[in-house]
Amino acid sequence: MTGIVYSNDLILPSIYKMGIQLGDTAESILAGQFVHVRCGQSYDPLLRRPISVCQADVENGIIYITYQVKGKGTQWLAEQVRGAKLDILCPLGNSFEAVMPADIKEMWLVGGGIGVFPLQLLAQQYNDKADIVSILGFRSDEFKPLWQPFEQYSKRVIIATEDGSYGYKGLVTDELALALRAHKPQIIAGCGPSKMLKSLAYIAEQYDVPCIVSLEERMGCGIGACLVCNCKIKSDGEWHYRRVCADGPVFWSHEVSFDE
Amino acid sequence: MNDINMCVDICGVKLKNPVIAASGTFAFGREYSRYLDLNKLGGISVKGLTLYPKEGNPPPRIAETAAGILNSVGLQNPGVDAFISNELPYLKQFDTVVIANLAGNSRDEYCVAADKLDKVDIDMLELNISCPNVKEGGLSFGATPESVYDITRQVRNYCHHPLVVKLSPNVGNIKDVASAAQNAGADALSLINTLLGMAIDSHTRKPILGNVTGGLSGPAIKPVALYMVWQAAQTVDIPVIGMGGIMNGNDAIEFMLAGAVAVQVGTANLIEPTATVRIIDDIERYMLDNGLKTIKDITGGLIC
Ligand SMILES: Cc1cc2nc3c(=O)[nH]c(=O)nc-3n(C[C@H](O)[C@H](O)[C@H](O)COP(=O)(O)OP(=O)(O)OC[C@H]3O[C@@H](n4cnc5c(N)ncnc54)[C@H](O)[C@@H]3O)c2cc1C
Ligand code: FES
Repeated sequence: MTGIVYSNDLILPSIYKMGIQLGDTAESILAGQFVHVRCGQSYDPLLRRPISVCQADVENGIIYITYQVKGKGTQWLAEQVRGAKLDILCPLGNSFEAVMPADIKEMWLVGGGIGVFPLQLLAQQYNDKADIVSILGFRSDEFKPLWQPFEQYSKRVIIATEDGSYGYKGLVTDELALALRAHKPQIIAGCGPSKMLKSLAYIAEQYDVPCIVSLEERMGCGIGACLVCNCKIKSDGEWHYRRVCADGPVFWSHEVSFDE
Repeated sequence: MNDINMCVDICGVKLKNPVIAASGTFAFGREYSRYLDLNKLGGISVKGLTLYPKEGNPPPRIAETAAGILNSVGLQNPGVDAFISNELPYLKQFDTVVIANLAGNSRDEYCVAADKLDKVDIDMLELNISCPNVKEGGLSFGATPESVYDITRQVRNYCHHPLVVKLSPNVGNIKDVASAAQNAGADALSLINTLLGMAIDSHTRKPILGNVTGGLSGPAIKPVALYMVWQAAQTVDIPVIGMGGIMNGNDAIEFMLAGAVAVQVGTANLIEPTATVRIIDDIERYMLDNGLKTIKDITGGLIC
């Protein structure tokens, strides 16, 4: 489908937030789902780029993505201005809601760095149904624009920075472990670098709290056909490759094999 | 209304148009049915099947290169039995030609699987002896004229469906392997499969693909593919199905001019799920614009 760029603002060095007009489709997008964007008409870059939806303005039919400029694809995105047309496939992926039990009343969101974006939409879509505590980690206080959006949707926001320039000094997973000693929520939803997710999965298991995580993998089609976006998922003592784009990106953390 | 006829006949199998979705990029069609009407396709070559289910290679399995992609999926598939019970009935609902793509680790595996597929209602068998992503995965069978002849003969014994042999470009002389397949009883050829390649991350000094090497496809390989299709079509009398980097109708027509009776569209599906139907429309428009009535008016029409 065609999306129209509504806004595209630099919010931090090399990080942009883009609003995309999608009409009625904006309403159907669930947290954890992503858009698969064609970056230009040329054969270089050839593949689409997967980016999570971080916010939805259903009334005006606008979704938001926040992305870091990494290479050719995201550089092209950064150059787009209001009114530009985007070739988009969406919504793709299973969503947090598809994995999570119904009737969640208390949810902790645990995220790190530029991996927090899918959690932002989760907070937006669940804050009227559940008590949300956001526990987020960043390199330094420079990244404040990335945690600010969580404030209006969370009962509490706990920030950890690696350099101690804001909140607790240390890793977000250390903060999580501390918090879990005092109280266990109904569910944890996590997103971030795979090293962080691995220790999140470990901690959740230690404290026996159900935990779902959103994974990233290099993608081709994004619709479940080409089988390039595989991750190892365990069940009943066996593992199988599953498609991050179609079976995921959200999985139960205890089922994910983070070995590779 | 126009009186253009886009039908093609490949060894007795009628395709409503010359565009086939290529194996490995289209799964078993289900995912694409949300984006296009599968009834519109000339045919679907399903994900490469092996006798037993296969998990495939570790991630990452894809790397983007200039105008191309490298993949190292490694034939992840549910196996022939699961295909027959779960996927084939689904595909048979549609009015399109179903081509079972078969790969294997050994002669025996190829033959047992071919025998199973012989008993079910597929339209054609495409013998994949050119997958570069698994050790035995067929490529060794596709590497020399002798090995191509041998595996084609073996499978031919079990296969009463029209047999298409899918050739690898990773060979010394494509003409020799094309002849070998024909002499061993192939009813048609399809080419080219992916070219062997690799991608390296200079920062980490590591290969990008989990499997280190992979198969290159996409616009980057089109000139090589055209050349090989042209050579094969000049060498054999059986129909040739061309593929390799076809992104639009014009690309497809170039392959037909080089001698292909039909084409397969692969990588383009990953970028645009509706690529196949757009290419069919493009070919029709080309025929209309050029006053052509049948696909025969294009195939082999290269002037040189
Ligand atoms: C489900 C999902 C959601 C994502 N959400 C976001 C988001 O909200 N914000 C954001 O900034 N980034 C997100 N990413 C990562 C983003 O897709 C990559 O940063 C982007 O594709 C890089 O493209 P490039 O052309 O700029 O970089 P290049 O390095 O030129 O890309 C080369 C190739 O590698 C792939 N690639 C590179 N990095 C990644 C990565 N981390 N994950 C997957 N593929 C990668 C690209 O898609 C491309 O095929 C997400 C990835 C996935 C899989
Ligand atoms: S990207 Fe093609 S199956 Fe996931």
